[in-house]
Amino acid sequence: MSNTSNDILEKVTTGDYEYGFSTEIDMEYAPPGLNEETIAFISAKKSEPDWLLQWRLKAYKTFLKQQLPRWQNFELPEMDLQAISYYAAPKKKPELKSLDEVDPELLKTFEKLGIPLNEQKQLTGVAVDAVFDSVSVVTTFREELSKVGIIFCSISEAIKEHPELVQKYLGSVVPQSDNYYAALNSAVFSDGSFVYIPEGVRCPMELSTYFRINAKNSGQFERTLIIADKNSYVSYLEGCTAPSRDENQLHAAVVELVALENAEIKYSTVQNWYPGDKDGKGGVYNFVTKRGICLGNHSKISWTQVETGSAITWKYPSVILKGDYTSGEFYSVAVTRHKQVADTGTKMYHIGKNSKSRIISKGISAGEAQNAYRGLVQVGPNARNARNYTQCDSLLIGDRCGAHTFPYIESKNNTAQIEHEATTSKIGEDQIFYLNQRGIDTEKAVGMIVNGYVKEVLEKLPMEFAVEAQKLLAITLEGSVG
Amino acid sequence: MLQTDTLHTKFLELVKSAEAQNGATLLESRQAAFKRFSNNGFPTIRSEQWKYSNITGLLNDALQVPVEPLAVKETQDAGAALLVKLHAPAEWLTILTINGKLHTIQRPTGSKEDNLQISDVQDFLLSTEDDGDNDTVVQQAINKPFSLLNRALFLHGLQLEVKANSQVNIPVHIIHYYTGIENTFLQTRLQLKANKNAHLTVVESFIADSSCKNVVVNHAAETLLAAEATLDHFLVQQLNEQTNLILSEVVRQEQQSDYKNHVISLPFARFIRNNLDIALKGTYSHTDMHGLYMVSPQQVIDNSTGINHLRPNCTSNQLYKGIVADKGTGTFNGRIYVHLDAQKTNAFQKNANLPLGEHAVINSKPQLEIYADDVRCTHGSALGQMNNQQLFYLLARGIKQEIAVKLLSQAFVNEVTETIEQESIRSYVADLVEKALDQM
Repeated sequence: MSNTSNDILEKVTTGDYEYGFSTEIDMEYAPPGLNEETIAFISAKKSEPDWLLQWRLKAYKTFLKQQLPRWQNFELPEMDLQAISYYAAPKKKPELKSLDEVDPELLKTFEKLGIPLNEQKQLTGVAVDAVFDSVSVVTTFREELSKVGIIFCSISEAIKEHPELVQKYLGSVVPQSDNYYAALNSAVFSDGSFVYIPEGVRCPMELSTYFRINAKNSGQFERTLIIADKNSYVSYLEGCTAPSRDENQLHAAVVELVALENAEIKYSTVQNWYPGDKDGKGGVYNFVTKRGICLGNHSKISWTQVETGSAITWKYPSVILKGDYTSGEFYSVAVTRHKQVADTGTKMYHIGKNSKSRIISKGISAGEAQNAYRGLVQVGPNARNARNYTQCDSLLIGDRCGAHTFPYIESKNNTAQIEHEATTSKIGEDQIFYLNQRGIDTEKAVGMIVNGYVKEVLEKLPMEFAVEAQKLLAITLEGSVG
Repeated sequence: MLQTDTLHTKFLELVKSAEAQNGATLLESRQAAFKRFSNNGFPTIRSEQWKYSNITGLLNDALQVPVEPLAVKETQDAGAALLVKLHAPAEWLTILTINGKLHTIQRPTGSKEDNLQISDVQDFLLSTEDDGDNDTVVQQAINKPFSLLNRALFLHGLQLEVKANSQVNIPVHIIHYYTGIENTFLQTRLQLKANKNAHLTVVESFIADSSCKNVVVNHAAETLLAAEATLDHFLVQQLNEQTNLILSEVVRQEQQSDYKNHVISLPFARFIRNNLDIALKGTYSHTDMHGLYMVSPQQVIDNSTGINHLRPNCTSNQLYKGIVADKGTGTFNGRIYVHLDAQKTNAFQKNANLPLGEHAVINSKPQLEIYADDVRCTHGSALGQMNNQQLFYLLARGIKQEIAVKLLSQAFVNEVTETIEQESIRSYVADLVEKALDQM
């Protein structure tokens, strides 16, 4: 390897995390520990109705029966769930009437993160729900959205104001018993976003939630529920950051999407939790369950994700293609460096007839990181004419990283047509040479090649996010990626 | 289902009767293997490797584990006639085993082949736990449940060894013939060793006749290619619905060796599981893995392959194709593993499946696990019906539907059979495949 490449690698492995600051703010914590009292405490703090408390307690019982999964391709660190605080909130309870009443420290935090909470300063027309540790701080543009009947608020509010919707759909896509972390989330979930798009409405702006973990020794367990009624459309964005801390923090979210007849949900994530330092100390464990169901015919769900943060990312945004003529998409870029681990992919369950799915996954692994794509394409016995296309490519930068592909293809119907292809390689020396010859230095050349490599996925992001994602990729692979 | 306790009783009986005949090393190896086997017992569908194949019905309670060599009806003189009946090509060197036991060796006239040693495997084992082979991948492969059980309980086996710097010019045909056995869980074994710069071609045929009832054959093979050795290996499985086969082969390759493997699983056995684990332990080695599985209704064929690139500059190429009839289950599970040291690896893997009936079940799991950066690894998997346009083209020319389907199926499998370089072996396999296509 040439010297320049070595220099670039050096930079890749030493780049800093930009959002590592923490906010000094008066916080209120639940005492650490996981038990029925904690759950009752959270429920009481949020003055929840009794049905939800019972629902949480049921989930807790399920959780006690669950065991940690053992099939993963990385070493799952021991985690003491009793040492974590399950509720952390800024003390000054923000009343949501006006932004002026929000703690200025909080506003400053989000401003520093580049999140526009002040509607006047808004240019982009993105409605934001800002979640700080366990509570939603503020949701912008609510009034404008409510004019067309769209409900966009924190899930805590939705529980109070729209219990019928929440009760109907909560846990309908990701059941409490789905997996270890989904059961834990169901028991102790704190806050998150709720979106309801009524029949025939095309959401006029991008909806966005920004998650920030600030508190020490706490976990974030948010719960997001999005329901798109018949003939509606919504594009939803999610971003996340956390301060640099030496301890590992747990983030175990559950996201449920429901698309009714002819509806379309586009869900985009730019995940940039603190990845830990270059020795692998600290960082967020991002163990998330995300699943959508295309319940009605002709509905569509599309997941796009750019994963650059977290010490360990372990998630498989999935789509259940229940209706006929439904469509599921998954576009992913996962970048890992230092000692990061990403085990991510998707599951496409073809149940309805004439359903289609498309999977594009791009992994970039640098330093000593391990990057795995794990996916499932399942075609049920009645899913006639199911169609799937999967492509997963991995790029290796450095000789101590790993890239893995574990696709599962299961078909029980002969009319299915499934294609899967994957490649793993490093950036071709001939490609760099070609660009060098045209006067482009190696660093820029690597950047161009990587940009071209991920372009197919970034194109799927809403414009506002695509810019952010590109910036993020540049920072993450600083030095090597233009 | 067969219980580990039952097996243990049998194992003790076997040890008792074998004690007098075998050396202490073999006995120790048997004991160690059984101990390891009983730690985990038989795999279940919860185990990742056996996710798609449930063996509880297969290993039923009626099965008996023989503890001493099975009686063979066929007299020594009957060997030649039997070989004719089994369509053994006369120009090959043929080794016939009956129910695992060596029966006849037939050489074509004029051939000497004195560089090939054929012996009883009981003499020694290619690899024991303490032979210093510390490669984790090899250890993992020989410690898979059925390999361990075979090592502990095998009664018969065959060993073929080619002398260094020599070639065996004609194919060596091993016919594993199963006849007249009922409710038997049989453990048979084959060891192949090609010494430095040696060349050998081996064709193994697994044939069962209709007098077999409820038979499970657990066949284990260990293959060793020394530096610069080349070995062409063909496994052709023609069994009936009363015979099941679990095959485990572990291959080790030293530098600049070339191993070519073909596994042809033909329809009508109730259950076939092919485990193939290959370790490229020397630089500049090459491996070809070709597989064809033709799954008849109610049949299960499960292929599990692992190619382990442990040293730099090795290449591997894999092509597995399956035709699955209605209510049959065809599985392909292929793993390419590239070790940290295995820079400049070039690995390719392709799996294609053709479902013929509405309820054909197909599972495909191509995997890449890569820890070195300067590599090129690619895999692809495809599943889909016949091309309607092609079918239409044939029908429009007055060709009957069944014949058109057969023609297109034949074209689909030809990609595999065409990779067979030796003319005589290609036509031997192609004939069998064509007959099988007629019956599917």
